[in-house]
Amino acid sequence: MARSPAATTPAAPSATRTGSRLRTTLRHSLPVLGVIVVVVLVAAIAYVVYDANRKGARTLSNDLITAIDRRVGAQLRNYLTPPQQFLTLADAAAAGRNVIDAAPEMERFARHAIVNIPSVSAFSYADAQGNYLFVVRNDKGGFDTKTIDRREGRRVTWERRDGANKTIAIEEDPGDTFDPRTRPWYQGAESARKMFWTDAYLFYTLRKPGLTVALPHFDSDGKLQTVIAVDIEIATLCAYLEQLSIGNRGRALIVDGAGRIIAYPDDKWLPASDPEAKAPRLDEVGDPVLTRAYDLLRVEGYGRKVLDFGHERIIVSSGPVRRLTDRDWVVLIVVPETDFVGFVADSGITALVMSIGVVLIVAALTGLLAWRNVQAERRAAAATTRQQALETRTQTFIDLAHDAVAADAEEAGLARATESAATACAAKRVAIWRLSRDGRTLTCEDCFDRTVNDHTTGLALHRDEMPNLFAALGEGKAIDTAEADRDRRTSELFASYLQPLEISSVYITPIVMAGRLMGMMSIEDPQRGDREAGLATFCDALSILLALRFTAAAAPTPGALQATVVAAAAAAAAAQDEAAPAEAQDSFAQRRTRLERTLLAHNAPMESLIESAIDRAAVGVIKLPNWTTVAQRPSDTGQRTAMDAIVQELRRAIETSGVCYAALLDDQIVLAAFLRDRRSVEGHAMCVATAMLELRDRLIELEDRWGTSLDFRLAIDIGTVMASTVGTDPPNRNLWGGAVGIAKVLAGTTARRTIAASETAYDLLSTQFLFRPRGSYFLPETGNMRTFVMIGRI
Amino acid sequence: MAARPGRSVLSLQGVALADRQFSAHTARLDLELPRGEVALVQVEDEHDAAMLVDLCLGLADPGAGQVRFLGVDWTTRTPRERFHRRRRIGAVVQTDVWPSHMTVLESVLVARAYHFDQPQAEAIVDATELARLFGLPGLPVGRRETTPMRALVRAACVRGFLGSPDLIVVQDQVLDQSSELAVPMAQAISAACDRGATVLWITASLATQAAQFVQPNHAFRLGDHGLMGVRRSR
Repeated sequence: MARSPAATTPAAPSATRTGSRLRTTLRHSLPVLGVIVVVVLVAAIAYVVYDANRKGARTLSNDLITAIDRRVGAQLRNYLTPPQQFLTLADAAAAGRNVIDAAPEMERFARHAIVNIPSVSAFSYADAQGNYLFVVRNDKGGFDTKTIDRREGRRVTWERRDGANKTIAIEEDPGDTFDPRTRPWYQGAESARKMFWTDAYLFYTLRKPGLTVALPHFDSDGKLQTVIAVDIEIATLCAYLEQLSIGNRGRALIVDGAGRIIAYPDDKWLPASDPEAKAPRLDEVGDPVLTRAYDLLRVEGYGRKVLDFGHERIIVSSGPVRRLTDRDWVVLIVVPETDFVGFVADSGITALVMSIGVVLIVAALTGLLAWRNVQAERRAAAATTRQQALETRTQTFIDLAHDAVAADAEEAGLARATESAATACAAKRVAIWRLSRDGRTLTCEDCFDRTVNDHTTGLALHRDEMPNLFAALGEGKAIDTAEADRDRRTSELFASYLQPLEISSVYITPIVMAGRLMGMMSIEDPQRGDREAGLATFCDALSILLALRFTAAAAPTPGALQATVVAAAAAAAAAQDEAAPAEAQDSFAQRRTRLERTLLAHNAPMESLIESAIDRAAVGVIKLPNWTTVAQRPSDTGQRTAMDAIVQELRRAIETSGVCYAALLDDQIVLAAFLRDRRSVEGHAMCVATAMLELRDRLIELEDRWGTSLDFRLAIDIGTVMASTVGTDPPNRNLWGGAVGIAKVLAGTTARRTIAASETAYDLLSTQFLFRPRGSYFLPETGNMRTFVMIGRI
Repeated sequence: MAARPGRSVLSLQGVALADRQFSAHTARLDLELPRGEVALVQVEDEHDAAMLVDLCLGLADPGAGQVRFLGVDWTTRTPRERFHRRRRIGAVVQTDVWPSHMTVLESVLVARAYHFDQPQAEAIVDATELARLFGLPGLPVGRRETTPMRALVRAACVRGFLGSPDLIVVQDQVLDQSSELAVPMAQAISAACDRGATVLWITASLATQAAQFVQPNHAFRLGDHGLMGVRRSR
């Protein structure tokens, strides 16, 4: 068994195609690669720049925070040092005298000092006896002075001055129970025995939170004589902290060692109504960042830290200000890192977005250019292809025209025509078909198959099989369809001819001369697309050339014309009687030639048959059903078998059919109609054909009546038969050989319930009866013979 | 079955049927077909069937084991010698047996014309007789593309049975589906066996109508473990 041989393709063209495809791919993908490289480079540069900026910004932010830290320290020092100097000077001026003695001098001193030291809001001067001098700013731009005199009981006097230092009122306040010796600043200074800073607390007189710094004075015996103090309102410290600019959201606080807030950029954190209230701790003001900072400081101590707070990084800087106040106060700066480095990320993202925008624009422009390049290449390639196709077809047409002029052998010319047309149209197959004289058959004069590089001839398409194709060709218009199965004009051609070849695209151009259809040219599976350019024009031109060729081939040559005329005159009378078509002549002639050759092989000349032979007898054979299927006795046949009933039924039909011979032998019935002259051979053929149709219908009726399947087959042939006489009174003839044998073979091999017909039968009967082709076969008795199935009357 | 290599027309001894399409197992085949006997082998997978045919015809070498035709191991012969030995084998297959550059008639007769010194007229008579047995009036004269499938199937049968082959291998999926050919095929096989030919029919199913009319001496089914003898119910 031969399996399909492996297809061998030349390696060089394959390698060339691969190289060309690679180059094309590279050329088209280079812009894309360029864009990708640019995108990657831009992304890398953006990242490097962003990282460097971020590091630089961090360094700068550290320096900035350090500077802010120092500035806060310096400002705090500037803020808190003058009150301390003020205290030292006041203490020196008072020199330990009691309040009553030093009050006028100290009041004057205090009023001048408070005016010049903005951080001081009030001045206190108390002695060990409980006498007390208090100077404080009032809302009229002047000062209020409170004096507690305990020399004669307790007398509290308020002297109020305006901005011009003019006394505007002197009031006594008998309800005032204030005793300076009970105040924390007094007691702290007494116990510390040096300058003492209180915690933040609520000022008694002002009802505002603040700090007090107090300086005690002792005599030589170490006994406390006086305590001088100044009040520093936290509000002013808070106002100062508030006006500090630390990034966008940075804050500076002052806290003590326990984490309690001394000063906060907001002075509403201490309730004024509760004199015993302590300042809140960092974790008590409801700020989660401060809570985290408080925890951080408790664990890690002072220094510069970075807190990861959610998605934000917070810089926490804390430094002690112990030397300033002698207390463990801390300046705490809290600022989000993005306040310093955020602009780097923002500017980086902005730059990245802008870069991406630029890249996208470049990519779009590059893509556009690449696309236009591809389009241009395609158009150029298409134009080249079209140009090549047109040039090829033009050259082909010129070559074919030369062939036509050269009067070469017709077959060779047609072969070259189909080959050239197939090459020019890049078609799988090209076939040239000639229409028979009666317009019923298209016979393939030459078909070239490019896939196998070979020619075929002889295939016939019949009008009965393809009425729509013939009708379309009759209109003289070309048929161009890529889906032959769906096109009504070519669907029949597709089913019987194109589909087995796996072809669905076909271009058919009619070959017409002087308005008469002479044939057609089929371009099967032509290459479509750009190579289709000029296909219709080329085919039209070629069809005209073929029409000229057909016409020239049909015309007699000058030399033969005279002989033809003579022969035609001699045959005129016979032709009148002999109405057989030309095709029938051909098939009968072929069969006769074959018979002569066969007889010669047996040393028997044709003339030896003349006595016993009957030429052109119409013979029908009915192959009756298998005996096992007709041995039963159907109910409507009495006691007869089905076979008896069938034979009886057929006999009645045969008796009325007009056939002149009928014989039953075994399971076959042979009918024949003939006369020794050939004048009515068509009539005999029609008689037998009609009889066969009638018998077929009778048998089908019996099938229906009995509800069974009768395996019968029929066949008809027209040809020579041998006749022998059997018996003498009356003499009976027995027909044998020739057409009888052919009809028997056809009947034995056709499908059930069908009537097979030979080529001669078809040629004689095709104008009156409907046939469909069954295939061409080589029979030793006849040579090549087309066979058909007779369907019915037209 | 017991191996009798000296008397067998076709002998498969431990032949490995590997690279199977629907089975990971390598089937080991042992088969001895004496002259004049008929064996039916059910091979459900067409790929396996094609491989088995190729092995029997010497078109492919087994991975293991020996395939002997008329006592000669195919692998001991050159491709040219194998080609000449195959003239004694008839194969009824449909795949690629119809060259596009020949008519069907030429394709049927070309082997007879090439290998044997038989007059073409006699070959035609023999072929026509077979064609009529299989339901054709004669040999198709068209090429494969213009010949009906029904005629091609029958022509393939003619081609396989034509002449006097010592071994006839039948493996035709179309044939399995054709009930009309059942009786002619049985008649042809019977006639071939009477002549002394050995027939190996590889069918997709032993139950197909075409195979039902054949009276085999052996019936097997190809499974993962090789050829297993089966008893056919009639």
